[in-house]
Amino acid sequence: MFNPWVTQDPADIYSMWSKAWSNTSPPSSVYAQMHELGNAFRSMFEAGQDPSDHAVRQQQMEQMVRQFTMNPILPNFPSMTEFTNLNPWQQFFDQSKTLMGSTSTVGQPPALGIGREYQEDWTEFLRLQREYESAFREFTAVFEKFTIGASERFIESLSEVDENTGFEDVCRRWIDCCDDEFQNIAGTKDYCVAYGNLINAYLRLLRHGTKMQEQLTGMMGQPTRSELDSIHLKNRQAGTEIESLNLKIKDLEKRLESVQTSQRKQTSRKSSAPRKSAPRDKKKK
Amino acid sequence: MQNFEKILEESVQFQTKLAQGARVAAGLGEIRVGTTPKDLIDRVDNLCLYRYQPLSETVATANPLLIVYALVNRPYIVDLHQQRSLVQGLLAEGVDVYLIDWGYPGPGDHHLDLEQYVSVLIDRCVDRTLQHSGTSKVNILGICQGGTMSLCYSALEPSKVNNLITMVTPVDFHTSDNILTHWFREIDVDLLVDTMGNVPGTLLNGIFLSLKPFKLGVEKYLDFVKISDNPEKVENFMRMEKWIFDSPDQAGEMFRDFLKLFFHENRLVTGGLSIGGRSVDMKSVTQPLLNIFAKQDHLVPPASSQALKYLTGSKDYSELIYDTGHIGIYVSGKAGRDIPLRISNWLRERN
Repeated sequence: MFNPWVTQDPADIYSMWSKAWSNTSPPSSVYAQMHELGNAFRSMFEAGQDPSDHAVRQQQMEQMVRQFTMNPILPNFPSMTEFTNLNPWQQFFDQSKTLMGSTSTVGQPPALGIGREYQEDWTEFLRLQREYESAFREFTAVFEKFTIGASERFIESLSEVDENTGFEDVCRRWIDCCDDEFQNIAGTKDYCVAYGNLINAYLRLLRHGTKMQEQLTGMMGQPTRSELDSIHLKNRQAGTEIESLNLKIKDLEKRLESVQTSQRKQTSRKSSAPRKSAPRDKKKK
Repeated sequence: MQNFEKILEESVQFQTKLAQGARVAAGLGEIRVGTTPKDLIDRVDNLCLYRYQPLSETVATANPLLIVYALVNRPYIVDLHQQRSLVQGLLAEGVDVYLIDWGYPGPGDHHLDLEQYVSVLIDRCVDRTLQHSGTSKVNILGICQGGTMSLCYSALEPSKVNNLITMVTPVDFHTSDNILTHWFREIDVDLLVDTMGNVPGTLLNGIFLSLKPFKLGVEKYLDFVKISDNPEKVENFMRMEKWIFDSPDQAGEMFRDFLKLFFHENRLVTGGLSIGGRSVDMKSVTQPLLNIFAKQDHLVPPASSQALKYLTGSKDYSELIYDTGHIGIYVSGKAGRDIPLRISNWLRERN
């Protein structure tokens, strides 16, 4: 497993930081996030220069709050899968599209028998992609509730800000508002269903893509994941079988040893019996 | 306006300190964890069974303590650093400590299921521990998911387990405050495992972090700025970061079983759990039980762990509750000092 912490290259460590931040915020680096934060504060206080221009200030504040409370999960969603080596099919399709033509062939009459299946697969792939995009939009709509709630909380919290309030305090207010609001929504039925639908739609798309990739790799005489899976399963079964045979062997060895021991005892008893009894007899005599 | 200038100034200071911290972190080199000396006792594929070298000749407890950690994340959290080590604390109290390190499952481990983990691998480790220590029973410390597996094991093999300690262990998966369950119940686990094979650790880690995305993802960096000029504290911070992002993939079939049986069906509470055709009845867990959990645990809510109280057949049940979170229970100062002492005393009383 790739572990940047064991290297001494600062670039890797920065990359690790970026990954950590990508879990919660759209920008890809800590620095970018901080700049964004700083800029947002600047715009907020710039708007505050003219207290009479309440509408502008309100608008800018809302914009700033929206920026802060951007969906921390959606941008992270692709990143959840990008490190997993589970998307080779995506790269594969990008390459195969160049080789085999674009998806514009969908809807055109197939030239050969194999073309119809190929076309059906692509049609299904595109249908699943649309399904995924729809689930994504639904999730975004549900997430919007969080954005609005967090914005309202933060705006309310900012009303308590005075001239002594510092940068850190404002940041913590933002974090608390977002987290409290997220806790309110994360367990709701709406959110859970939208979240589950999004993941399931993504997985269906991924599964179909994998199936298509397998067909293509199969046609090229390459081993497919299903074949590798079968080999892994056989390996596992063989391992379990070996383990149980080992246990049986050990059990048999123990039994054999005990039989041999008892046999040895019997033999030694038989062979030593006359010698032992003779002196005793003599003593008795 | 004064406020604006102040905030801008602080913002610049913040960024300077952040950059300073990053420079300090980059100069630390390899972050070492799990440094307490230990010997390899057994190895099966990725799994390693270790025994920690005792600090003294005198052993305080009659039976060795086998730590069964979760499959998510790495077990070196129990020995993160000399000053933050549950293992060191236990050794100092004279406990003979063994640990199962599950390793990093590869594609070939996709078919490992709950039965393999509980009835084969844990059982093998228990047997090796007994053989190595020359005793007839072990004490088990099951942590998080490892606690759930240990409960199942203790129900299946009661004759081999003398005492059972569970730490931040999910038992009732359907408490209303368990957000993870709410999320997992909507996910088609068959589709997930059939599509992905092993479940990527990065994916799970992302899900865990997104339970509290702002606190876990942003706030810690605000705190980091405060320690950015202290290499020792930066190293501690990096040590935790290393552990958090060191997430092994999950064997597909095990993930399927665990999600279905526990997250979806809550079988420890509702009953009807069977592993490898053998019934797992919580009433068969009659060993003395020590249940340790955290009040502010966002991953395993306290109510989920506390459900164990009325579930088993044990007549000797004790609880230890700490005012900390899921991770704090291993590394926070108070819990770190207190837990080894309390565990060893509890074990001594039940020798």
